[in-house]
Amino acid sequence: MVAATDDLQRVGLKLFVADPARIDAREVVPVFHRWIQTRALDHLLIDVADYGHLDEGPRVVLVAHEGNFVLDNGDRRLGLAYYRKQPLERTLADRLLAIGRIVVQAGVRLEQEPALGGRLRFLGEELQVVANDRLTAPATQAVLGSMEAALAPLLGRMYPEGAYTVGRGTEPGERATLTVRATGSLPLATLAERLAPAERPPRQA
Amino acid sequence: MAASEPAPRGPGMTWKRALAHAVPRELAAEIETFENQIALKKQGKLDDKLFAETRLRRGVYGQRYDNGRRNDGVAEQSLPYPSGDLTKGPETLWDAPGMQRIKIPFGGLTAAQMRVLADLAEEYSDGVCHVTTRQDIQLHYVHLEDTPALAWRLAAVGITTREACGNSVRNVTACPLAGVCPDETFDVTPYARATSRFLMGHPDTQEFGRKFKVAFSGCGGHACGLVSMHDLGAIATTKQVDGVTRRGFETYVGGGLGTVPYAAQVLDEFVPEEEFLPLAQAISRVFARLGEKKQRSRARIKFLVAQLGIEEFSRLVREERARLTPDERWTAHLAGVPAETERPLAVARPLNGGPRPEGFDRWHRTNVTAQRQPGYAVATITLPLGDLTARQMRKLADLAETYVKDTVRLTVEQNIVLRWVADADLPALYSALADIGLAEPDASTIADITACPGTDTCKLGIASSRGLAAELRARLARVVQDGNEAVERLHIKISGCFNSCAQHHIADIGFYGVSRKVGRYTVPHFQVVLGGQWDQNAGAYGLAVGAVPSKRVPEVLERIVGRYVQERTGDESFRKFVERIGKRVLKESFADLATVPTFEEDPSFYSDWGDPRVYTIADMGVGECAGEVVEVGAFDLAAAEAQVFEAQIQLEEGDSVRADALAYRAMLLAARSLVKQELMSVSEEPNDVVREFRARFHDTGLFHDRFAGGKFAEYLFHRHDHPPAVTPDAARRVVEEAQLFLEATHACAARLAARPVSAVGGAVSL
Repeated sequence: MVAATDDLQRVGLKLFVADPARIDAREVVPVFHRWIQTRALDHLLIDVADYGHLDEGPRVVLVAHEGNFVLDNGDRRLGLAYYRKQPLERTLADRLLAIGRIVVQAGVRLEQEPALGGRLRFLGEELQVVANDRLTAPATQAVLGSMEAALAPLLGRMYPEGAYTVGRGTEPGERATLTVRATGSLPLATLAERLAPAERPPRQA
Repeated sequence: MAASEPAPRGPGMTWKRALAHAVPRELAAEIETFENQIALKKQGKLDDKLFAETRLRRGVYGQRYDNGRRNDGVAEQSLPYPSGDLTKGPETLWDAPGMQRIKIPFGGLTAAQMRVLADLAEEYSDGVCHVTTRQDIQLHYVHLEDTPALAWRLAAVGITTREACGNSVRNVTACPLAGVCPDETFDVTPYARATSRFLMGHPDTQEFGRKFKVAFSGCGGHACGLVSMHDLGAIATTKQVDGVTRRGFETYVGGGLGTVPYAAQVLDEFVPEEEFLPLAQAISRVFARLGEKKQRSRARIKFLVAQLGIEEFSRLVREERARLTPDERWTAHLAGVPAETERPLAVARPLNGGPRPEGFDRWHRTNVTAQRQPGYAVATITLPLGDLTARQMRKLADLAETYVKDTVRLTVEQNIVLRWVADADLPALYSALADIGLAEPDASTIADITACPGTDTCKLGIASSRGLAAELRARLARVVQDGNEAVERLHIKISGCFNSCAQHHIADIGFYGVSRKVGRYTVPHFQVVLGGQWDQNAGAYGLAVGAVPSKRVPEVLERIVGRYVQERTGDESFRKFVERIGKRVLKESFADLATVPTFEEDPSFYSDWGDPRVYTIADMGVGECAGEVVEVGAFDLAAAEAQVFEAQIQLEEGDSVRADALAYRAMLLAARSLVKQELMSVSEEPNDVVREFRARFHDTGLFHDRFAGGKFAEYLFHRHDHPPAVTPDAARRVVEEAQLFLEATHACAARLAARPVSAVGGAVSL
C-alpha cells in the first residue's frame, strides 16, 4: 500500500487550556464575533457557532473559509483547535508549520483578550495533531509514522532543545492522531516567537 | 460491510474510487450525475435556478449569509470568497458554506451508518450532527464541492440524500416506537420503508410544485406520527373481513403546518395494506397535475385539498387509481412484513435490586419506556437542541452494538432512542451514556425543547430559536426536578420564523420569531402560541396571542406556567386550561412584559439570545422624517393587532363569522397603515384600501418578503375577493393569515424606515 499522507491537507492542530475551570467557553462567543467585526485574523471569517450546550467536542466555532477555529472540549479537555479546510501549498511538513503558526497566533490573541481578563492560558508544551481525512490518512501505524516525520520540522522550531515525546492515537474509528508533550512549561508567546517567520536579511546595495 | 474493507489507497485516491464496489449501481449513477452537474455549473454551463433545484434534491441546502453579505452588529460586511461571483443558485455564492440534509427513513439507523455520519461531521462539517424534526440528520457549514464525497460515503452504508430537499417527497417519518409500542395496532416500519423507497425518484413525484411529507403512526392516540400535520398520513388499523383480520391504514391527506396550519382530512378510513402504495401514487399524480406551480405560497397539497374539497379530491384520486398500470412494487414488500420483527441482542432480564448509579432513577423516570415485549425497554437519549458531537455519535454506535445492535431511531423530538434494551442492562447503559455525556434526563418533558436552526444557520430565521431554547432548557431542568407532573408534561417548541419548522403550532406553548421596530432599532421578539395539542397525532393547533421581546420570554413562560400550576383544576390539561381561562386573560397576565426599554436603558434587549451582535443594525441611522411617518402607521397597526387578537377570542368562543370579520378588518387596518405613509387621505372603504395597497405596496414589490415574495399580500386579496368564511376551519385560517399579514406589515414598515429619508418623504402626498 502506498501511503498518500503527503497529499494530506485537512489537518487539525489543538492547543490545550491550562486551567479550564477559570473560563466559561461561552465567554469566547462575543470575542469571536468581535474578531469578525475587526477582521482580526488573516482568514475570511464567516460566522460563530455556539455549541455551549454540548458536554464535549466543539463548544464554540469560529467558522472561516480557510479553516475553523474551535474552542474544543474533545476528550473533555478544553483547548483551541484549528481545522484546516482549504489546501496549502508545498509539502506536508510546510503545511504543518503553517497551521502551527495559525493556531499559536490565534491562541496568543485569545490569551490577550481583555474581555477574558487573562484567565485563558494555553499550555505551550502540549499539542495534538489530527489528520482530518480518513481517505488520505487513515489511522494506521504507517500513516502515523509519516505524519510524525512531517511534524519534525514544526516540533524542531517549537522545542529546539528536542525534549519532547510523540504519542500515537490508535483508538478504533478515530482519526490518525499524534500527541506531543514537551518537558517543562512553556508560555504560548514563546512558541509564537519561535514560530515567527525568519526575517530576511536586508538586501545588499 | 464491504464499504469498511480496506481499499488500496495512494496519491490521487478518491472516495468514489475507494467505495465504488460498495455502492449500488443506481446510487452510483445518481452521484456521478451530480458530480458532473457541479462541474458543469462551475464552468457556467448550467442555469442558476436549475442547479439550485438539482442540488436541493440532493439535500444540499443554502445557509445564512451565503449571498456573501453578513451584518456583524456594526455594519454589513461583504464576504469576499475566492471564487468571486460564481454562484450555486440565485444569490448563493459557490464558496459559501451550506447545509447537507441526510434523509433517514423512519429515523432508523444502524451502528455502521452512525459511524459514517460521525466521520462526515468531523471531516466536512463542524463536528456536530443535528437531528431534525423530520428524523433527518443535518450537517452544517459544508462546502458544495465536498458533497459528492459525502454522498459516496453515505451510499456505501445504504443512505441516500436524494430528495432530502426541493419539491419532492421528503423523509418518510414514523413513530420511533413502532414495533415495540404497547399501544400500537401493528408495526408500521416496513410500510414506511416501502413507501420511502417506492416514492423516491418515482416519475409521478417529480413534478410537484412544492414538497410532500408522509408520516406513519401505529395508533391514533399518541403523538409519535403527527399524522394530522402531514400531506399524507397513515394510522395503522385493522378490519375484520370474512372473519380474517386485515391490516390497513386510516389515511389522511392535506395537513400541514407552515405559515398557516391545516389539519389533515380523512381520505379513507380503511385502505388495505396492499392498496396503500397505489393510493400514494394516485395522490401524487393528482397533486402533480392539479397542484399550484407558480405561486409557491399556495402550492402545498393542503391548498389543493381545501380548494377542491375532500370529496372531489377523493373522487379524483379514485379516478387516477383506476387508471394506474399495476406495479409489482405495490405489494413486493408485503411478503417480508412478518419477518421484519426485530430480534433483541440481549436476553430479557428484569431490572432487579442491583446497585443504581447516581442520577439513574430520574433518568429512568423520564427517559425509559417499557416495551410491549416484557423485559425490554426503549431508552431515549436526550439531545440538547437536537445536537450530538461526532465523537458522541461514534461512541453511541459502540453502545448500540453492545446493548441493542442496530435498533436505533431518531425521533421528531430531536432525540435518539435505543430499542430492545434488556431491563437489567439499563443501569450499565446509563453509566456508559454518562461517560460520553449523553445521559441527560428529561426526555419529552418541558425541558426537552424542540427548536429549528433559526438565525444560527437558516436563511429565513428571524429570531434565535436555538439561543432561546438553550436559555429556557437551562432554567426548566429545575422545574422537572421539582416533580410537578402537570408542568413536566408540557411541550415547548420554538421556531425562528413563522414557517413552523419546530412545529410550534402543536406545542402546549409555542413560540415563533418575529421582529418589532422600537425607535431606530429593530428588536427580536417571539409570538406566543398557546393551546396546541401534541398527542392525538397533533390533534389541534394553537394560536398566536401576542408578541413579546425575545429577552422577556423566560418571564412570560414563568407567568403562564405559574398560572397553570395555581389555577389548574383536577387533571386539567394545559390545552383545556387555556380554553377555560381564555387567551385574553392569559395574555393580560404578561401584557406588562411586552414593552421594550430604550437602548440606552438596557441594550441587552437589542441583541438576541446567544448572539451579542446588535440585532439588525441596518435599522440605525434613519432620518427623523421617516420615523414620524412610521409613527402614523404604527397607530393603525396597533389597532390591527387588537382586532386580530379579538378575532382569536371569537374563534375560541365559536363565533366563526365574527372571527373572520375581525381578522379581515385587521388586515385592512394594517394595509391602511402602510398606505397612509404615501397617501394620508386614503379612506377606510375596503375597496379603496385594497386598491391603493395593491398599487403602492404589492405591485411595486415593497411589501414582498425577501423569501416569501408576495404571499402575505395574497392573504388580504384572497379574503377581499371571496365571501366571508363561515366554517371554524376556514375562519381559523383567515385569522392565522391575518396574523401573518400583520407580521409582514411590521417587517415592511421597518424596511420603509430604513430607506433614505428622501425616498420615503418624496413619495408622500396628501
